[in-house]
Amino acid sequence: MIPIDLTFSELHATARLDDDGLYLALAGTADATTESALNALLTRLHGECRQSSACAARIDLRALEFMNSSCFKAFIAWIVAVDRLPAAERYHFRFIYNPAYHWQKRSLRAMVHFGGAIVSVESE
Amino acid sequence: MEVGVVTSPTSFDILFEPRLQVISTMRRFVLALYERVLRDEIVSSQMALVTHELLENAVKYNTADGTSLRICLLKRAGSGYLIEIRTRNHAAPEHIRIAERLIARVRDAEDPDQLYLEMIRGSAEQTEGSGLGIARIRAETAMTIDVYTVGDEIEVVAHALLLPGDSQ
Repeated sequence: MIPIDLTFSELHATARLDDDGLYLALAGTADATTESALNALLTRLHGECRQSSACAARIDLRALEFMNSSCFKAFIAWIVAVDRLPAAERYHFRFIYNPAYHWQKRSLRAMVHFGGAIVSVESE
Repeated sequence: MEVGVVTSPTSFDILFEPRLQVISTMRRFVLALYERVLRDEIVSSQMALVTHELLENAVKYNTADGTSLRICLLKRAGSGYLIEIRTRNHAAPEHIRIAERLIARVRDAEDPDQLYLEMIRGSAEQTEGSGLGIARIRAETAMTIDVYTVGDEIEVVAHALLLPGDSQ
């Protein structure tokens, strides 16, 4: 299953499991044309994290030019799924953003507020 | 909103075949336009986000051959810009009603950030049609959003008065 190297429309996704847990990098544009593929990918990665008992998911958005609200929602659904797990099975999300893409910091603010203790955000 | 005397308008109109694949191309084009005219990367990035979210709705719910986008950047005498981003499309009556209700809710919210978070919470359970795009526009850009309908045509207008230093 992992590593993953996929392209959907203008979105490129790579994922791997390493000593620090899951690493997912997105590049390009996540929009209405990639929404269902992204949903399926994140569901699959959640399964991988649970199976491998990963303690963290690092989401690297530095090369992501734009993400629409529907794709944003796919991440929210993932965070909710983790939040509903028993405490011992929960893992942490670390979003890495690119300050040059101004929307990222703004949009991730809501993600942090919503995700609470299981979500953190940092720039490169 | 006191607009004042307007000089040097920059406007842009396009009618296009409603295809989702075209929207990212449009966003890149208008981002370059915003950056050139407004000379503010942060505001330009916000306006590009607004344009993208509005266009996705206009294309997704369109029931005819064309979707249109109109952008006006009106420079005020003195300083600042009045910015208007309009999309227009034909839509089914139920989608028009949903859009009108949603836009009224977002426009009238006392705390747009709080509403956005509430909608994010609700959207995690929904499989489609979250309305998050409109709430995101209001929360992340502070643009005001209005909706006008004539028959089965719907026009959504996002507008803001941008003053120097607003993006800081």
